[in-house]
Amino acid sequence: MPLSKMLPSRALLRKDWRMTRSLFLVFASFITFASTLTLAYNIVSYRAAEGAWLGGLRASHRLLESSSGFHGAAMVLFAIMMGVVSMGLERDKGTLSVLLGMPYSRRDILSSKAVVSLLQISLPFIANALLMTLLLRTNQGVNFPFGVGAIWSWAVHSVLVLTFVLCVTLLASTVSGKMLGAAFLALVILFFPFGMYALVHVNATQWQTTGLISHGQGLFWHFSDLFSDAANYLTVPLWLIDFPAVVAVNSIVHVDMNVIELVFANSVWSFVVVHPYVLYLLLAGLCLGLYTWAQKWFAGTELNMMMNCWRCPACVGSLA
Amino acid sequence: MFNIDQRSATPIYQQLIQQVKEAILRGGLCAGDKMPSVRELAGQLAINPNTIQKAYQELERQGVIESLRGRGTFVCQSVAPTVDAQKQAKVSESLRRVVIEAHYLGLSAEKIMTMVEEHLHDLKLGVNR
Amino acid sequence: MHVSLKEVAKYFGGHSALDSVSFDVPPGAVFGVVGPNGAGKTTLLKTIMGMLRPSSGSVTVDGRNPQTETAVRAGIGYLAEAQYYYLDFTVSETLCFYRETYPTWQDERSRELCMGFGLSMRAKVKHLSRGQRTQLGVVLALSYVPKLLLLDEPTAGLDPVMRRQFLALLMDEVAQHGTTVLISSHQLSDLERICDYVGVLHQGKLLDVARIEDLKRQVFTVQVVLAEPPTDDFWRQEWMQSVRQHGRIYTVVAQGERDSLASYFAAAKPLALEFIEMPLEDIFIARMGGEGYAFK
Repeated sequence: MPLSKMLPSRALLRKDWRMTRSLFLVFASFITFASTLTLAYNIVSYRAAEGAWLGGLRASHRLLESSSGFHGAAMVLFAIMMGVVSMGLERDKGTLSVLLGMPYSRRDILSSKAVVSLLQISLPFIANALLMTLLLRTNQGVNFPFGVGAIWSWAVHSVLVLTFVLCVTLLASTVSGKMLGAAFLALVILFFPFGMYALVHVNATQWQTTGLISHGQGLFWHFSDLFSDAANYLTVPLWLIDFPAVVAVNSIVHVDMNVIELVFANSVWSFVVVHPYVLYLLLAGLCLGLYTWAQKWFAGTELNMMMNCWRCPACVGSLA
Repeated sequence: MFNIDQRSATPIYQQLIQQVKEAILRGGLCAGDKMPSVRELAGQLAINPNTIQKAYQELERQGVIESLRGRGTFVCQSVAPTVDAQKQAKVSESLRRVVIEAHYLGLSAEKIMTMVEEHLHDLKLGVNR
Repeated sequence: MHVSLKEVAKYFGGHSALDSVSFDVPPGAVFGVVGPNGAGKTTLLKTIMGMLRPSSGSVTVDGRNPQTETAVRAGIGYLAEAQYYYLDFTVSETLCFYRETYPTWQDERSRELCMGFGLSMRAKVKHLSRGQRTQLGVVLALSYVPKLLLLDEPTAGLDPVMRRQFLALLMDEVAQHGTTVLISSHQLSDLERICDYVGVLHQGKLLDVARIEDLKRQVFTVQVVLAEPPTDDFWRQEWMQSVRQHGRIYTVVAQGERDSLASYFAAAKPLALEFIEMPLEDIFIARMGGEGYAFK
């Protein structure tokens, strides 16, 4: 099949881009401010201070190695919003029924949204990575604590994680009838593990102060530690904040191939051996799986008069 | 130019036929005049073009109008009424029906005749007066 | 475009919206659908459009299933009372989207219609009034010259002037392009002018399909004044839908040819005999035998 046939039509792409345009611009500005502009400002103040090692550059370094909690959560929320708006808004406003009456296949309708959302999430990172590379290359006099490789690994890593968030949200908004429902579903899936862990931990601390359970001992605390590890792994925003596979790499060509070891002192697992590319591949595979699932679900969806019925057993059951 | 009375029991196409004929008799449409196209009339009156087509076809069959290829539909130069025994019987029946109704509405025979003459005069068909 | 439905049924969670509906619409015909609210008119049109999948039976437009074959939908236009637009788009952006979607789009036509309606290209859809949004819907539906037009109560909410304008535009379209039209409406007077056939939908069932002129030729209200009441048999004719008596005045709704009816009543030597013109609504009610409508 020629490439032009595989991509959804230009009209759909243009329409979907137009729908989330404002959100995209805000997101792009946010990323630009957090990365390139901060870096530029730090360089300027570094030069002004005649080479004294300012904390400013450390901030940029930290961003690239592991985003602050605020950045990570904000990026995930943006990605959720984009996923929810692109599909959920059509449903809420009723324009989905118009689309379905047009000569577009359901596959094209959903794939156009996926493509546009993907572009809108990745473009800010790519553009900023380019700009930051440019800044690095043109400021030879500055002693940067990180290299070009770190910049690009940050970009690629963030795009991948946010793509995963997007796929989850797209699926949620295809399944759920309304925007609010989709947003809720996505938030639960993505933030839940950590939220749950925090809930449990806070409660446990309370119990400990009342003397029911002694800290640091016993099965409960083992499980709690286990759960904290699981929570760390399963809570997606934390992947942006403290993903163990992100390592400072010195150049874009020579990637550090060292295996990353994770040692958890108190937990049952002594260490988990993980290779970054395996994890990335897994993530990419998950994204594809979620997207396919969303397509399948959308293909089987039936819109009733209220435009929010899907797979009603009564509807599907009465198909001859 | 034409007015359709929806409340009437007469089908719309028949009303059109009648009105075209009346217009010709009264001089609104002269021999050789161009009739509005089916499309124009459909748009003007907001009526199904098939209905108009039907009326035009019947008028053409009766020799009232003729369609010239590529130029449009025109009123015939000479409307030669054809004597048709069957049609005459129908007209006679319709007249009978009208007379029955008029009678039961309370109109006398003289009044009925006066009304007929008035119509004839109005349509410029009467000889007297 | 030829539209054909065979035994189409549609269920929504236990509720039957359409029940065994079958009819054919030849190309170029204008087919009206009448029925009370909730009869299934919108469901019927959406199923023909391809938005809904029939629970059983088949829908074909030009021999193809509009739900599965997307190319057919490029020739179908849809205009409903409930309109959905991308509210943040401007009029020109909306037109642009449709232009790129439909290969048969005619730019001059859209511009001509927009100017005729007085729609500003730069206005955002959310700032348009309800009437203007309907006009935009008309522009969008007509500019790509669809071969089949599905209209779901398009004149509801329009004032009489706009209604007449809309019908005139529609008839002009049909005359010029031979468009097949399916229109659902409560306004029987409108349907009478524009339809070739009219079908009655009641509780998901298609009761009857008839030509309007046939209906008008076959149902009459006759008022008869009789000095003496006739024999009971006189009123027991099966072609009499209903008889109402007020002293010596009998009002009969009857089916049959006008001349034979006149002769029948004349035979009873009435004091007065009158045929009363019946509005189309009453003809419908009488013809359908009062099914679903209160007729007491």
